[in-house]
Amino acid sequence: MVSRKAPELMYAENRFCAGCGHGIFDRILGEVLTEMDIVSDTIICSDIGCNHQFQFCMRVDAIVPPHGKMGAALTAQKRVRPDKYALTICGDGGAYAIGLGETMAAATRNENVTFFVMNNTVYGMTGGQMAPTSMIGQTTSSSKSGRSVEDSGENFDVVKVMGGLNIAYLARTSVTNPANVAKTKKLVRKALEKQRDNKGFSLVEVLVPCPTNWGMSAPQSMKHIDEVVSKQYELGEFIDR
Amino acid sequence: MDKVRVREERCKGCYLCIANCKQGALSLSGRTNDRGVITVTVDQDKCIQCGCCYAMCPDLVYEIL
Amino acid sequence: MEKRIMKGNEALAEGAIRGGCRFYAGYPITPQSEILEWMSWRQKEVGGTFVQGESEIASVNMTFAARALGVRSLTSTSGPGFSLYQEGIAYWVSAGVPAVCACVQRFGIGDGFISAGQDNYWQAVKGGGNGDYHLIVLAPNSVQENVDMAYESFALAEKWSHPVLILSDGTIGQMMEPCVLPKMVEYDIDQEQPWAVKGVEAGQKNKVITDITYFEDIDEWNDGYLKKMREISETEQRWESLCVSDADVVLVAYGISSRVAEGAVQKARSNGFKLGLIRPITLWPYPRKAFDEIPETCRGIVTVEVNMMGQMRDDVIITVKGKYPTYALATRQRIAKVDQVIDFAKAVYEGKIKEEEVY
Repeated sequence: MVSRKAPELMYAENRFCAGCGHGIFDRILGEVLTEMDIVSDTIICSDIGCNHQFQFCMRVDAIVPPHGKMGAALTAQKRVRPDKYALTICGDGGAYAIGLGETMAAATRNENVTFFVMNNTVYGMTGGQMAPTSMIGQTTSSSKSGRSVEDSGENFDVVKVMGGLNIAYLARTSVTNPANVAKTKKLVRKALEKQRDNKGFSLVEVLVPCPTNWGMSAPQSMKHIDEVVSKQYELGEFIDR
Repeated sequence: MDKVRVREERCKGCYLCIANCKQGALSLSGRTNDRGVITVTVDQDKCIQCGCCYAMCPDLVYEIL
Repeated sequence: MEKRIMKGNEALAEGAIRGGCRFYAGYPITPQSEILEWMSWRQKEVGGTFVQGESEIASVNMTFAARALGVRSLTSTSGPGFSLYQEGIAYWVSAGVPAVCACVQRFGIGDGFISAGQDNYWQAVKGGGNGDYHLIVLAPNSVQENVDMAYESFALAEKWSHPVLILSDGTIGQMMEPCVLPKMVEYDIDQEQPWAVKGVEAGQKNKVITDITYFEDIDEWNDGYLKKMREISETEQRWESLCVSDADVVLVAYGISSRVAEGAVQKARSNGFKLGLIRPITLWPYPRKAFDEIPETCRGIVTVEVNMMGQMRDDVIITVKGKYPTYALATRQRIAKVDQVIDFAKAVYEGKIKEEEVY
């Protein structure tokens, strides 16, 4: 079902660049929180980076620990307030690079928390540097001749890394067209339902465009995700317990 | 009666809406908002209220009425 | 009142529990692991939460989150663990989150030794992380003070919306002494707290626990913050003075060193040598007012410290502004002996010690 009106909690214009995937995702999350009627039961743990700008357009209580430490902060959130939803909107750099230890520790403990990881294959806020998710050969502002395996190793694929863990839910989706937006909304809801039902750790990775740092128009960026990025990072539901 | 409300002042000009409107109901308006962005206008006759513009817009420009 | 013989670290943990602490996260590190061990079973008993974090970095940020959701929260560490805490604690400060940290100091740089020391001083009182801040730093010198300071630390932190650090040391942490345990405080996490989030109805004004300058006028926030820091600095100075008003040489020492210094004052006085002692109880704000009592005739001030460079001497120099010569009896990894302190003070009195430059 496609929603048709801005959710009430989206109180201001967002600060993202034109065509940014974060804007689409934040609205999707706003819709899901509203439809599940859990806005007042939600405390978002922010990452640092473009993602943290949800604070400036969404009215949801939130906390902001240091960059990448969502796995630790969410653990504490859920333990002291099990009646509240503990979730993060974060970046691939936060979740998979600087915060990989905390993310994995929360997952291995199967903490009853939810990660929404915006994977745009670069560090967006700082100017498009190489991220763990940058693909082999991808040029970024810190891999000018393309990411090489020799220098930087293989790109990080959360499905390969978390695939064997005893967690509740692991999925990857995108927002490249209305059908994928609808699908993403469904998976976002499913992840939060896992938390509601005390199933444990859930993570939904969303392939989002960064037209600014990719040097593409927004429609080109969406096409790039469909034709290139999602070939590298397969979409689907990988763990569903 | 209008089928879609366009909050032109919010538009940043990514035009994901135009790219995803299968009815061809969206086009550039020729008007510029305070951001200096040329905004989008809806042909209300062609619109079937599918909601694709709403779904794809990162900036909540559209409301299906 | 309940009397018990307890180990310092365990007493600190129990003091915190009785002060309403219902969240603890930490990572094992000597010489403070008994705090973590005590919390692992005790939090369960009182209906609180214990998490053994996967690292110090995780633990400090768990403590932030728990406190940001309203629960009185403690973490504890030592030496290099405290270095890892600095980023997290800076976030506590900028968000005004009144969490409490205990640092049971050890000796050395980097990994250092696991034995007692007073080597986290600079880090503890000067800020430690990035930005303009000091923590409110309490320095216990007995098992009883471990209990009392942990017990009151939450109310103190909440009073100022500012983190409190209990700067203990390995000796105070490991020794056993009798102590009196205060009665249990139950803290209501649903009460109105400016630093805590509880969730908000759609469309209502929400709260974000973050560097507050994001949502307020930055100049106004800065002004308010500076005012708060000045007020703390002015009103929270605490110390204990012993025979200072007629002293020929004044010792300054906190924690385990202050116990040796006290012994030195008594022994020296019984032999006719007029030693005095200022024992800072708060290390920030530094008890500057205590130094007003020192007589003009005093020949020198000596800090007694379990480190190499006499870290606290800096604060004495700042306080007395060159009025008295200052010295540090920094005995490295060994705690000074009473006679060693007296001999050093006597040498100062006789002008035999050269006042060293500040490192």
